[in-house]
Amino acid sequence: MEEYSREPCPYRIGDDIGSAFAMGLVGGSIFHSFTGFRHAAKGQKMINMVREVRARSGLTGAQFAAWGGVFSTIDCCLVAIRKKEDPLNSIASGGLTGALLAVRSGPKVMAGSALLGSVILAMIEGVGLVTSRWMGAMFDPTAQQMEQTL
Amino acid sequence: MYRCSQLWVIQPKSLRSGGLGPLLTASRNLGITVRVLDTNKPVQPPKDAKAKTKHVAKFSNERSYLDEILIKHEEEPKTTAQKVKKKAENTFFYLVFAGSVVALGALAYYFIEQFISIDSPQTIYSRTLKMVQNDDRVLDIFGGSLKGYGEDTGRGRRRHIANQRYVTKEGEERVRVMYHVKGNHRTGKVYAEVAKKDGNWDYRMVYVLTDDTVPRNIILIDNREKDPNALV
Repeated sequence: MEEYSREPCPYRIGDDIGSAFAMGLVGGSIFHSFTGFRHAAKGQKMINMVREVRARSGLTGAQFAAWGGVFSTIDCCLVAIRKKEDPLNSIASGGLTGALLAVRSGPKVMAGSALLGSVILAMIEGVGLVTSRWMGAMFDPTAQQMEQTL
Repeated sequence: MYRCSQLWVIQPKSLRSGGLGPLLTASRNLGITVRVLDTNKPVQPPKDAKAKTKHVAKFSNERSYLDEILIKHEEEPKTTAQKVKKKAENTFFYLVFAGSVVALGALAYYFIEQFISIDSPQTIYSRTLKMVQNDDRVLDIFGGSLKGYGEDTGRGRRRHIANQRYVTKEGEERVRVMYHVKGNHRTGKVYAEVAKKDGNWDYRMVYVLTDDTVPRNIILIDNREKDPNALV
């Protein structure tokens, strides 16, 4: 139903921020609970774990949400500029996000962060492409069928 | 403000004559205690230090104290069993590393092939979109500023281009691609097909269909062979 479908672009940013925050919160809780458990003194493991999770995992979620929000915003901007939706947009967005979020640390760190962001996004895109290619090959209607004897 | 209460001055012989006066007056004004260490006499550690510590660390000249205390170095494997275990660990790590390099290389190959090879849907999409965006009839019907996109996924990204690769009865390989375009007045679909003739991939047809109740079509390229037995 194309009359009722809306342009994804501004609403996609909110979706991405929310899902990135959720991912960061859950992943951060698990990770920080392990760290809090390990660094604690002997009788205070549980208390330390709970304290560490409460203090740090919200921050991790916010960092992930910042990454996701900036990424999605730059992606929408690139789509509006290029007038084309492409995997290249995602890679460029990943690089620019890495650079932009490291702006306070100077140009060299920005360049390294941009490279890391674009490599990670390229890997994600590549995995998505390979998956869709293999899934498509499975459901190909023009592939040779094996002879079936009843 | 950072205030140090003691100032150690290690005094070489050359400065002994006049160097210390101003330092002492400054220290009196700032409330800093100045202790002077004479480098002629070597420093002796307190006599009962060794009796107190259980573990005698070997302090040598090459490594600093902090290095020795804080960094833990693994013991070299001495017995045969330990050596075999270490070699097995190393081999496992090398295998995992080689496997991941191979996997990454395969991923990079498939990824780059998507953008460079002529018969991949992405290249067909890019080139035909450029053709369509510059065509007068299309711009007239759709209103300017034409935007192209693929199929909707659940998450809102529309990157996947619907495509089908097939082989005709005569053995000719073809790839057909369909994507959406949206202009200021209307939306539509673009169908493009490439076929492999004598080893080169060539456009067989490119046409645009609007999404009205009565679709209008704009044919940009039509290279299909005229079938002599066709009725039309």
